[in-house]
Amino acid sequence: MRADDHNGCSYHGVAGKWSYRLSGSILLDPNTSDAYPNDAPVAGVGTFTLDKDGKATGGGPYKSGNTLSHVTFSGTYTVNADCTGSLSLDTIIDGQDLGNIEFDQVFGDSMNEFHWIARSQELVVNVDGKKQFRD
Amino acid sequence: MKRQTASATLTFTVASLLVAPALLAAPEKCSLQSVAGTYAYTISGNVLAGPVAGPTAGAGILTLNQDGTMSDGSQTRSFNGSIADETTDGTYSVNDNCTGEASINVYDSNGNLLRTSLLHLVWDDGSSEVRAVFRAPFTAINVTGRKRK
Repeated sequence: MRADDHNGCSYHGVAGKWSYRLSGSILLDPNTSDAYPNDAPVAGVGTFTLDKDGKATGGGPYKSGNTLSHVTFSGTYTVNADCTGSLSLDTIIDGQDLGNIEFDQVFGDSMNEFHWIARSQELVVNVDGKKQFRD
Repeated sequence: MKRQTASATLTFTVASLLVAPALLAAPEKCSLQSVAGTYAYTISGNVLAGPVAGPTAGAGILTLNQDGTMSDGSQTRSFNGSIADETTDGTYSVNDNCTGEASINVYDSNGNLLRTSLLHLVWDDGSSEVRAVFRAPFTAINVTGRKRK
């Protein structure tokens, strides 16, 4: 995303504890899956922390198709002055490390609300939520 | 004198109690001025047919100006797993009842027009939050956004 650098989001401003809601789909190989047409819905909720040094950690319950799991993630994030940014999160589901998942993010409501989209060809997923507590 | 003061206070209090509910019940009106601002938003849903059929997701920012234009938009979107960075502009209208319409032009990173999307809009929370649905056939896509400031 583009950064205009004139509207004042910052690491200090977005740092804190957040709650999130995840929704979307995992795309499956139609040759090996019975899913129709080619995707399985996913959903989840949880909490995470953004610190002032650009680190992100969190997790929560996660439902994929008919399977309830627990996801944890940790990694780094960036935030630009125009309230856009990105995340790179090492993601673990029920002990299985899925590696890094990249997200783009935007902040709204004076850094009290966020929206993420996964930059993945297999995950068509939104994550959004609100700040619970400031750092 | 004290009786007059007490009477005046009582009159004022009763009048306030009568007027306050009327103020609270006053219908909120939206306008180009009230909804103008830069929004951060989420896109989610499905394209139901065509070459990009499948789940859709996105996130971005877009500025609604007081003259009914939209500018300075940028978004990341996924059509069935195909990721792209896009820029956006367009026009919008808003009615007194906080509903509206938008016509959004979407460009690739080289500035080529990719598509024009038509949306129904509705604002809430004092013109600070907007929800939208795409009007195009074979789409079930909604957008939720909130002013950045």
